[in-house]
Amino acid sequence: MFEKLKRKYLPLISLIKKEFHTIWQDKRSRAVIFLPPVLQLFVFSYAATLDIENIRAGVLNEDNSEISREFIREIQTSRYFSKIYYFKNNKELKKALDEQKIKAAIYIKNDFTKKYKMKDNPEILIISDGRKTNSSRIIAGYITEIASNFAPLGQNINKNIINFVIRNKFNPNLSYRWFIISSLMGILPMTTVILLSALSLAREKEQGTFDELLIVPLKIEEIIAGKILIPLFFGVLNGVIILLISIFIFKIPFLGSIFLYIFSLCIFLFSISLIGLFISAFSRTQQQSMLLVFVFMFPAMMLSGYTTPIENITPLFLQKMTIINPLRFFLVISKGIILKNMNFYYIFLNLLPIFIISIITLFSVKTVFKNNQK
Amino acid sequence: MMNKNIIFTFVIKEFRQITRDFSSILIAFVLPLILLFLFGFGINFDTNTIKIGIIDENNTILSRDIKESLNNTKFLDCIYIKNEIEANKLLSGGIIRGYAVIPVNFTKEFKKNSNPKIQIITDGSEPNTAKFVSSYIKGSVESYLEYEKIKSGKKSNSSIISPILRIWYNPSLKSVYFILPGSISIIMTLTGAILTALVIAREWERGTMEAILTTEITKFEFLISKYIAYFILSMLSVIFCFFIIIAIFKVPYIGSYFFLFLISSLFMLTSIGTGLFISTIAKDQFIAGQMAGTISFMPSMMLSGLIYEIDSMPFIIRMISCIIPAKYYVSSISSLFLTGNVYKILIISSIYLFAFAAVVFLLTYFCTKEVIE
Amino acid sequence: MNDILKVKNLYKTFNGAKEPSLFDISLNLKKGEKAALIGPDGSGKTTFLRLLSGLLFPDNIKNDPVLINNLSPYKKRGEIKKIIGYMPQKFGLYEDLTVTENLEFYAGLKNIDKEKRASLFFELLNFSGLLEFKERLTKKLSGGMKQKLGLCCVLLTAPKLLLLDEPSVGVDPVSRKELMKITDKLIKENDTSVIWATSYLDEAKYFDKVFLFSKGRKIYEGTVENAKIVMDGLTYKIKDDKFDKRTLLNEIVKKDKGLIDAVIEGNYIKVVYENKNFAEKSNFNLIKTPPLFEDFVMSALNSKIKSYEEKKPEFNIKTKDNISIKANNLTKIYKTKNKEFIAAKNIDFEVKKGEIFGLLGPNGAGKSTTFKMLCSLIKPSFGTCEIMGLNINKNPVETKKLFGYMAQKFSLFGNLSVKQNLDFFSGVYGLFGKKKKERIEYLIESFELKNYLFEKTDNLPLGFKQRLSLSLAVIHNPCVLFLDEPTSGVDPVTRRDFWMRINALAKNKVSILVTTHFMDEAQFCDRIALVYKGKILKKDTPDNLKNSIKSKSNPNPSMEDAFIEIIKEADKKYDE
Repeated sequence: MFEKLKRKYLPLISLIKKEFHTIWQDKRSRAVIFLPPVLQLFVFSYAATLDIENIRAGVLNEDNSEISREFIREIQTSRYFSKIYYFKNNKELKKALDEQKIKAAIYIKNDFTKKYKMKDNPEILIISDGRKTNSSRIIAGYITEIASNFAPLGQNINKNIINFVIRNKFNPNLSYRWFIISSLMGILPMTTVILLSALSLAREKEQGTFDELLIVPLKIEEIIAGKILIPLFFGVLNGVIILLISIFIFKIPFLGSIFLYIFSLCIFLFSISLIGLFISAFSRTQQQSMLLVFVFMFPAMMLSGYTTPIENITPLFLQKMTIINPLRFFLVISKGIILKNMNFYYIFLNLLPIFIISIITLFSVKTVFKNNQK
Repeated sequence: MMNKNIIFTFVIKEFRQITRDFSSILIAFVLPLILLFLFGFGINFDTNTIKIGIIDENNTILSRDIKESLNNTKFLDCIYIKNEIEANKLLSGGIIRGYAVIPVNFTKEFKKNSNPKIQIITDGSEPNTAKFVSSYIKGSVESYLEYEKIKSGKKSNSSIISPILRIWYNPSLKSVYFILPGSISIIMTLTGAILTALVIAREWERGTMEAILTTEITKFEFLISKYIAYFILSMLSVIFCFFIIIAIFKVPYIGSYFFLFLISSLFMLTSIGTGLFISTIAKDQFIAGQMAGTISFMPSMMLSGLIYEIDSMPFIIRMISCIIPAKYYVSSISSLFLTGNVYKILIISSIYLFAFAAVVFLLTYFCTKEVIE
Repeated sequence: MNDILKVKNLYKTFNGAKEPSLFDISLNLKKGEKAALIGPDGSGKTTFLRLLSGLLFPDNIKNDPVLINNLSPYKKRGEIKKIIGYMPQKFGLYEDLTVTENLEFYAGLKNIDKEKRASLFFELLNFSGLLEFKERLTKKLSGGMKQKLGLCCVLLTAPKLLLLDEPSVGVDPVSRKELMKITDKLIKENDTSVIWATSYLDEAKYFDKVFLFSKGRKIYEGTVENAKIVMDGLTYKIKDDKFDKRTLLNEIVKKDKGLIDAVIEGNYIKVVYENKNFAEKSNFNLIKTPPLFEDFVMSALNSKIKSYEEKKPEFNIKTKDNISIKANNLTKIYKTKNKEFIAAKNIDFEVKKGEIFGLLGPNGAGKSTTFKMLCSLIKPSFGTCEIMGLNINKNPVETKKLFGYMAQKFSLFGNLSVKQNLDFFSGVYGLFGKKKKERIEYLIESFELKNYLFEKTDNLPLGFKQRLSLSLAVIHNPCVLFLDEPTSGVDPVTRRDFWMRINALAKNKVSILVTTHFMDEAQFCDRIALVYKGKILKKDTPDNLKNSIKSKSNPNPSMEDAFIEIIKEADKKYDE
């Protein structure tokens, strides 16, 4: 019984061993598998933040009274602003803003105090830099918030009679880093897997060893399996390393089940490795393969809900196109398991499309392989 | 030192090779198109409709009006939910991005003027959306009550500063106006670096380098020719991109075209230089590809200030971003498009980019070998 | 002052190497002299040529070990570049440029006046027969044409010293002869000197002088004739009707001592002894035969012939008429947009058990297509191929277990070690446990792979790559063996050893299908099919093929003559 099984799977096992050695043997390719993802994890999670801090702002205060100065002080002491520049006239202000010395400016007119005392809702002008739309919107939000809570000279404001109790579930401090890391857990292993699987076949074609694979008694299914399993293995390994770093160094909470997470990661990377194989089945050289990988990766990342939430993608057809992107579904699962402890029903709901994508790709790969034999 | 005929011959040869390789055309013209399209639509901070839930435990005229008012804002799409258990399920399943709870005694408290509560629960796993959800709900409830107050003739008893927002350079605050010109930097690192990352390695691999080295061409002429060929190709691609941005996406352009060309050329030289440099030191294609991605493409995406604000990053990463050419290019290009010729930015950037390009050229020059081994 | 090239005490040690790769080389070359640089793979031929062209620097650069036209290539590089022409092993051509574009490119780099170019190109292309292909992309040229084009590019400036690094590897005899003609013309016109590295020993006779390198040292410098004199009285033929020729060969190698070489030549066995004593003590009837240059090389390289015993094939399948490979009407048509290209047409043949069958033909004749159809790498448009009675396209996995395959250029998994390659192939062929261990141990011992067991195959010397490649092809004891140019680029000693192994396999009833460009190897085959323009021109034994072109002017034709003659005839027919 055991003998029989062994005989049946021996060719496949030998192929898998060979694929493993091919990658593992070379010191540089070993480094290239593990170093960039870890490096990227660190750079991305520190660099990528949508909070705006250390803002340099300008003030043009025509009013220059106690109240307006107190308002400026209020802004200066808030945690978002790092430095306030004072300007004498509009021209100076414009120059500073043009040259990006400041990110935003506050213009207080000379009737500010008068109006304020008359309870006539005085206006201030927030001028922000439209070259960076997102930051300018956020900075305006900060200033507005400070303005609406501003109560000088011990005055009591009684404007807001409704008390909003805001609770951010799953991420109480709205840490952007948690979001980035839980997304990177899908994206980084994906990069490894797709490069490995797309290049391995193209390399064999370039070096002429692909013929060797075709001439030994291996079935097409076995060749596909052999070409997929090792990238998959390294991808999952990468995923686990990133997970451990995130938990122990970045202290991200992990609420769901680890097993479920790894299971989903496997299914996801399975689909990605098939896509990589599909790409390499089409290309003659490693260079072409690599370029096609780029052509795939960009849309996949941008239309996954990572750079922008799916519901914000404007042309509706582009939004609909995201259903062929396995990464989109995995990001839901990844965030779901890590931050939300999402229940199995929803995980299954997102695993299903990934699975369907894999099956379709698998059949396409098989067809291309069969036709490849001219 | 330079022989024009030799350089001319070499450039012609490069062009013939480029036009015959479908993958370089793909990288130079098709990929930029896809990227522009995605940047134009995909990276979008202008929020569209967000799905939220409302639990109305109060169920009075007032609470129903509030519900109605929430549903009427164009940013929110409300569904009514019976209880919190269900709401939490939908929230964790990612179906809704947040929900508001109007408690049982809301109307009673409101009429008593004793600060009634409204609970807003958001999905923190999408921090950006979560912020929008809470501020939208807050804003629309407040403005509804304000409106009611004005209708009933009440006047507030204290002064509120009312800020008015003026967005300069981009009054309608369209993020594509910033993202699209900025994304050219990413496209340029792609066409510049990825395309050239393999070209010298390939000459060695195919044995042509050996043959070239025994002819009269010098190392300097060899490198200059490579620069010229890929410079022309990439600049064509860049002009093509600018045309699409201005003509198709209708992004306004108010700067001078001379500076646009100058600054783009300088940036392109840094990018091609980086690619050629990688090509002289990495002989394996896989390694070259990974290096091009890690040292040229990733920084220009992450650390150029295009997507993430540089000022908010930790000190060390801010320092690193200062040596990255893309940072200078992004700020110049967005100024040129939206502000006009800001000479200080343009001059500093030009000088830096020129210096960077020169250093990379020298590095490449000294790393290019004239003998085997 | 007649010497164009003077080399004196040249040493070259590579970074990190313990021993020099070139050791105390001194030699001279006169103006207009044509020299062959011969030596086993790894003997330093390429290093030597690269040193001459200034692509590598010698250890003792200060002493001016190399002077070309009295100039040092390392100090006066600019001037040297003007007087030498160098063609690297891969020809230095851009595959994605057309023939004319390649010429234009090199003409530009060599600063040739624009006005002169047109007539120069015409002259070169016309003479090399590439004129009608001038608009064709280089990658679509055959190996022979590429080589001619490479030479044309080097000849643009009429160099004083021409250095050619193995220009004839993988090129058929017809093209090789033409190439030689081009070079000869050039020498006469411009008084050019040539150094031509080659591993085809039969080419040596066309040269004024031969340099023989071995292990980084020069072991012979002189004419071919002088070399032959040394071998006088040591070369014989043996015929014995008691044995078939393969058994006879084995018997001779086993019984006689001091043998340098023993090969099948038609119905005879040709033997070479170390000295006359050994010849006198021979156990067989010796017939004296004049020595060849090849015999000298074998002797100078210290060749020792060995016989091998191979195991019987694993599957002893009985087939009808003892036929193991059967090609039925194999045809391959490639369709492009508006053209049909017939790469192979109605290929029919049978190979019997224990037969060595050779596929010969010029580059691009359809030999490779036929070969690949036979082992299922290309799907035939029509026709079938049967191996041991199994149709390979209907039953691929089962059929593939029956044969072994050795690819052109020994495409091994380069970054795996020898052991890992052995493990992989034994695994895919279903060997495991004790059987696997025994087989691998046997192969390691028999193919002498022990010292390289954990070495990356990319770093192996070519001869070992070839050995490994063969050991992998026979790892499952197949009953059919496909060998695609199994000896291309390999030096004569290694080649001889290789054929002794093939012989042993054939003796055990393994059928062998082989393609080759070496005409002496064609004689080892039992039967040969000559493929040209997609068809089989002739199918016969080597002796019959030779005899078929016997004439008064050529009473004793060689295999090469037969090859060239038959193809000429076919061309005539086409023209009519």
